[in-house]
Amino acid sequence: MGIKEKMDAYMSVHSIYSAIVKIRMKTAWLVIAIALLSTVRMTYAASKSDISTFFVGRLSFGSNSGDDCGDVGADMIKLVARVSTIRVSEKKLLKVTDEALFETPFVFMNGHDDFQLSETELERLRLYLNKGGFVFASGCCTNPAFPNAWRREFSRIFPGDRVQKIPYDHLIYRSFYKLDRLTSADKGDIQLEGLFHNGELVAVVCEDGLCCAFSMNGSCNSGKGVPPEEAKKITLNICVYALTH
Amino acid sequence: MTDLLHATLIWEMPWAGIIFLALAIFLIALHAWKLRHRGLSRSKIVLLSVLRLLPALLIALLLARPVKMVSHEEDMKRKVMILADRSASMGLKDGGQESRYRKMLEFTRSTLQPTLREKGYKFEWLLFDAATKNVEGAAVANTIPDGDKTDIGNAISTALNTSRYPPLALIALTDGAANQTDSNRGAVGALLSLKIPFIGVGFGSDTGEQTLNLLGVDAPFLAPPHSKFQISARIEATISHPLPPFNLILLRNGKFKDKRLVSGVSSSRYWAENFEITEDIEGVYKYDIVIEPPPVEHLILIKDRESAIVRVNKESELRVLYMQGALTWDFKFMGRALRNDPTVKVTGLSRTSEHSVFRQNVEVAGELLNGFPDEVKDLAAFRVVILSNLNPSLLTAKQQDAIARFCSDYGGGVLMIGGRETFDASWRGSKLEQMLPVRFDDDIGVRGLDEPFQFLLTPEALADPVFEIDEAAKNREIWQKLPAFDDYGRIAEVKPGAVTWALHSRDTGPNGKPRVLMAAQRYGEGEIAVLAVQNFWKWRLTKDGAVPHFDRFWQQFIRKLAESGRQNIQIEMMTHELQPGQNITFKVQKIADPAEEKEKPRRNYRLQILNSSGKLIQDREIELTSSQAVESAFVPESADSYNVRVVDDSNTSLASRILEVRNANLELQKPGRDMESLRQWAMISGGSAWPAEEVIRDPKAFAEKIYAQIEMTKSSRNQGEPIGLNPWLFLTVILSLCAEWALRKKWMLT
Repeated sequence: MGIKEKMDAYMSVHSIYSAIVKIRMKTAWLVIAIALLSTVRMTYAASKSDISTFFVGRLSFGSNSGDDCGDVGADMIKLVARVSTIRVSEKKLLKVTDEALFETPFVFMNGHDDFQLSETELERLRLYLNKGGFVFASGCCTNPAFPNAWRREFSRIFPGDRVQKIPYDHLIYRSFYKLDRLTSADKGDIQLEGLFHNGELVAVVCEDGLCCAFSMNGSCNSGKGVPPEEAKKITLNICVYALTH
Repeated sequence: MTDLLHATLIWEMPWAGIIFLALAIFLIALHAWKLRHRGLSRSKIVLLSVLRLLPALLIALLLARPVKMVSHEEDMKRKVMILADRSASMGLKDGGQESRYRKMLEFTRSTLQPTLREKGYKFEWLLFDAATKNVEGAAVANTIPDGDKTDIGNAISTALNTSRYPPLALIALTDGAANQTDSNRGAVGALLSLKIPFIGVGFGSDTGEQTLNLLGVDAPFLAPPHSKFQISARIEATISHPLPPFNLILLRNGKFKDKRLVSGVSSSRYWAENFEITEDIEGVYKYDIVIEPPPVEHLILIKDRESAIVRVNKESELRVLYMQGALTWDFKFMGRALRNDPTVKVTGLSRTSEHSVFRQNVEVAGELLNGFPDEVKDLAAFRVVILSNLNPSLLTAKQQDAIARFCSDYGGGVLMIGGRETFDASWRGSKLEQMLPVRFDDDIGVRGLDEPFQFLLTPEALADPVFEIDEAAKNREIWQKLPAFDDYGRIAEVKPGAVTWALHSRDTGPNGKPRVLMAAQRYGEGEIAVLAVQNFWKWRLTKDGAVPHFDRFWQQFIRKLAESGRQNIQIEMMTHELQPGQNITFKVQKIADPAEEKEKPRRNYRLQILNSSGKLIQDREIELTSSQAVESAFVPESADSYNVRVVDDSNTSLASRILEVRNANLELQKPGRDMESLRQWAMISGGSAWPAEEVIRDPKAFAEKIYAQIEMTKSSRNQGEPIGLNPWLFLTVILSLCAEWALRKKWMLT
């Protein structure tokens, strides 16, 4: 075999080899791409259903859409996750009338304005709180309309049980951080308020822009309301108390 | 093959050679003068004198005893071996502030090491008790003397064999109190053949330390009112002289309850003293046993007080300890359920962050202040321990042991709750896994792919009163209507003897059968259950669920776990000695229970004794009544933890008692220093034995003595080789003398 024939034979073999390599490379890239996509899917699945024990529902009630100060719910979850071993899940928007309320042992509600609960909503909340559910509420931007409405409406849930101030010797002030007092920038000492039923604290409200303080560093409170650091501590205390009582 | 460094010629008796030579020269000169007078020519006189002088010179040389000295390179590499005794007896303080070991370290620093360094000796450390090991000096300083035996013979043999070159000397720093002698013969032989001096420095006092120690108090965890029970004190005495009688005081809640006289103790021993108690009023009692020491000089009371808690009641109230690894809603909802039962008290310990634990409903201010207890006695106040969302990695080995003993020995109930994130491969090999009624799967599945499932009770559970949460007709339907759950721990299989309570509605385990979600088994005297469902609280909150059902189930289930350890049979110890080879007798008696007698007039019982490996040592059928006790006995062959128990037909343990049998501490049986032993070792090896206080008083004498002994070892090895005594020399002498005689004959001088 002459040199030319040898070269031709070599080239033909080489071209076949190159073709195989190219096909294999394409296959390899395809496999890698599929694997990456699977990973993305798996990661998504994992984050979505990671074992959660702290379910937070943003409550939609009356005429309120449940989305005042939109990031407040997510910020509360982050706050709880950062300082404790509580496994949190993403927030979900809930109506009081949703069936999902009975899968959510802790719900958060906030707002700026006055509101009124329907009889159906009152009935649902009565059942929910009776079974062990917990409601945490906060007025937005120190607007007094929401806390006033909350006091009025929540006092209607259980006949005879009215919303009342929670004294400083209550465990909720030291369930995680020990807080001797709760202060407001403009009012001095303030207290949490709550609804007690059969001796259990089942719902809590803070009138002085607590959610704005722990979520937005009190930027909308205009020098009023609970200071941000104190707000974060009392919020965490409320969450831990709800989980342990 | 010796490694020759250099050789030198020395004269052992130079004066003899010189004197002889001087005398010989004088005589030869005198003889030459006489020959000259006889008229012999000068040349002939010189020749004869040379022939006489040559042998005289050679003989003079021999008389001066010339020796060729050879020194070896290995001598430069030889070291002094220091044997430091780290056995428990070196921890004794002999009535002073410092232990023998501490004094030994101080002696080493201040006297021994400077002496050896000053003389240019290298040294090496060996630590010994029953075994011997080569260590750095720093390790000696950091060692705690806690070896359970002492073997000086083994230490000597090891020291002689540990290096390529035999040591220059062995310096043993010890109290000489050896209790192992098997290696002594070999060590003696090695010392004699190698001619290595043994230099012993003895620490401690010759009388030693006398100790009395109250090791612990055993009492039943729970006792019914108006029934007799036993409180036992385990005591250890290590003495070299007999102890006179002394008192044991029993206090109940800090006040005097009883007193008993312990007869004199003649030698070191480990034994138990029992108090018989009956309480009529329900409550939690703290019993303290206090030793009132006998008036003996230098007696050290290591521990004179120990306590035990006994709950005397009819099970009308029970405490539950709920420990959760992460905050979960289960704690809240179970707590709510149990709070509706006024006889149940739930105490919570919740890990709220990596380093903080939230305590809830503790009975006294300091209770559980440091989190989950390390000691089982701190769990004694509880009847049930619930571990929720807690991996074994979150508990120390001591805490896991405490839980195991709480269940097995104290008859406590344990419940473990968790889902996939809790029950995983991290349990494998842990103490908690050994207790569990199930084994977990290594494959915990893919997160997010679980489908909602139903919690299905097994027929065994449905037939059990614990799961009756409503009228019988409705009960099955209620359980079927539980809400769907979505997270569960993967149980691979149920261990033999465990009971399965609930199954998964969709998933199957590795054996192809429905996945187990809830199971329980007996563990020692208690019961342990596992619930592998996360967020079981959903049942209480669900809209259609009835809160009373959830609450009733948990109240009944917790009460069942709490009552698992209730014992209606008493095992009382009768003899005192708890050592191997001693006959241990005990008495088994049934506690009167009219209700049970009416329902079950007769049951078959077996009395069993098991060792710590679970091997049956004794197994016999017994007939138990409340009016007559059964006596039995056994002789433990070895030190071990023995379980004396009574079982029924189904091999279920009805009562048990753990007996800790052990040897009295060998190290402390002869607590005094044994200088005689050191002297014997020194004598056979040409060494010396020194009481430490003597060395400390006169370190110079010690230094000089050991220097002399070490140098003697060197010189005895470096033997000189006599030179000159060989046939050529003798031939030269004889030939010279013969030639001289022949010449004299020829010249007719004779």
